[in-house]
Amino acid sequence: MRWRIAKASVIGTGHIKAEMPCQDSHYVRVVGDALIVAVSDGLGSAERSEVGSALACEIATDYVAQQLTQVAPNRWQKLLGASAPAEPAYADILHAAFVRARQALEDEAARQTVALREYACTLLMIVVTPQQWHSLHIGDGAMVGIYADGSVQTLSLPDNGEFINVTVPLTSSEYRDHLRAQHRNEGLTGVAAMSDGVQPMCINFKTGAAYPGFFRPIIQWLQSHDQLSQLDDALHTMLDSDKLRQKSDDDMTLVIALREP
Amino acid sequence: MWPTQPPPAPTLRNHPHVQPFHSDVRPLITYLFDVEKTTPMSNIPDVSFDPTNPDPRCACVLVLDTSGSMHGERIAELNAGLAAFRDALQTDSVAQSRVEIAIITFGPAQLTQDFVEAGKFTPPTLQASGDTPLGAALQQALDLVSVRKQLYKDNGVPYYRPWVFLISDGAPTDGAVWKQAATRIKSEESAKGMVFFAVGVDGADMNLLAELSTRTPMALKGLHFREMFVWLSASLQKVSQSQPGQQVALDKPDDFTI
Repeated sequence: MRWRIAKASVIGTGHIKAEMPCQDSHYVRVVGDALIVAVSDGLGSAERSEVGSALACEIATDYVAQQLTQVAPNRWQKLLGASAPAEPAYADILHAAFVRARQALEDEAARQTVALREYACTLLMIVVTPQQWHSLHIGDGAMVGIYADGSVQTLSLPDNGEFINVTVPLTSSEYRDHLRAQHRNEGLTGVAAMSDGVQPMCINFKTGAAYPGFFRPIIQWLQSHDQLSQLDDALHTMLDSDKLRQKSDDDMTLVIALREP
Repeated sequence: MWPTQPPPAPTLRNHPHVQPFHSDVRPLITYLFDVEKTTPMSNIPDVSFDPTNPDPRCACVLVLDTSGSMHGERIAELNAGLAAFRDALQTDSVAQSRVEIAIITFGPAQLTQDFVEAGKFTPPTLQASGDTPLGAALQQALDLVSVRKQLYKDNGVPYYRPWVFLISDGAPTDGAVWKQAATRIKSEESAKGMVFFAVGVDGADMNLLAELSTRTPMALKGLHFREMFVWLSASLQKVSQSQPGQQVALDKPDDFTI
């Protein structure tokens, strides 16, 4: 199973003005039939959140990838008669990945002798297999499913609490209470994951619905465009355009993945 | 007959469960044959945004003492301060559409200006007269904030923590109503539902203002209303452009407090 993936994080104009780095990170891996996407937004209040978001994405994604690699029998093992193992417990794996990512932040904070909250970041992850998808999410940002008929549907909503500038990060001591897991037994054609910088453009505040006018042009472009090495650059250019800049001065991250036709 | 050799152990390169093949080789091909460098990058067609998503809002209620003791220079300076507030907010295009201002004046306690976008705010000319129903005015302000929050919620408008900003030069004349207001303010503040500031003009009962909130009241230096409103505008600008998790560091109110 091959995937066509466009992914980019751009620094927000507000961050440039405040001399802050881009605190968003993303990481994508494909393991066998499974696609793993992680997006993380480092909190503006945290001194080292750009390290936090990068670390969280990488540790969590690599852990999931490693778990899936271990359970999936390769074609040689199948030839030699290895019986197919039970479907991996994706929800448990994702949960363990979040715990590990948080542990990695704790370890890093201890190594650098700074407070854990300086690594505060959100984290959203999704694993997409041919028959099902599982997501786990803390903080804001959103994940959107892309279906065979071209429709889009929000899979996991942001958690902003009452106020727009408040969210619970992975580094919170109460993070376990704020983890939101979703799953459905359905085959997605594609998936999109974003940080909160992109969210106001395409996720309805009131209903949580994904806005097709935002996703359709990108999906069509992705389907018709096969110069795979340029996808990230093109998406970066789009996020960096004046049109989107006017809408958001925050860091913006967007990952869109479609199954190869 | 097929050879009975076992199949080769998968290496990372040909492991079926790792990366797709092209991700390893493609950069090399690109480099060697200069294939894609020459082809122009195709742009993503224009995307459109959800038009129903409104800008986030930051509500600010000014609770202003217009009792008889504010008469003369005080009320004139307060009016000048409001004009400076409008001018300061109008230099910031983002704050103009995000900050919403309402004014409650007391005596008597009344809604002088319902919520209006900062960009459309025209300061009223306040007159000083009557007594000091500070408690009733605060109650009215708190009601106004909770109605506003509900309106935001019902319409899917994201919002920042609302601000209530009290200015007084006296002591309440409406009995113990202020105690009920103080209880409400403290419970809202501990639930982080609101930000409350009290500013005392010379002659104000600072001990009473201190009992209204957990935050220490500020004592206005002379009649520095202008400096105070410039500070308020700068603070609201910062808040209305803050992002999730960001602690907004307000400037020190040294220019206008004792």
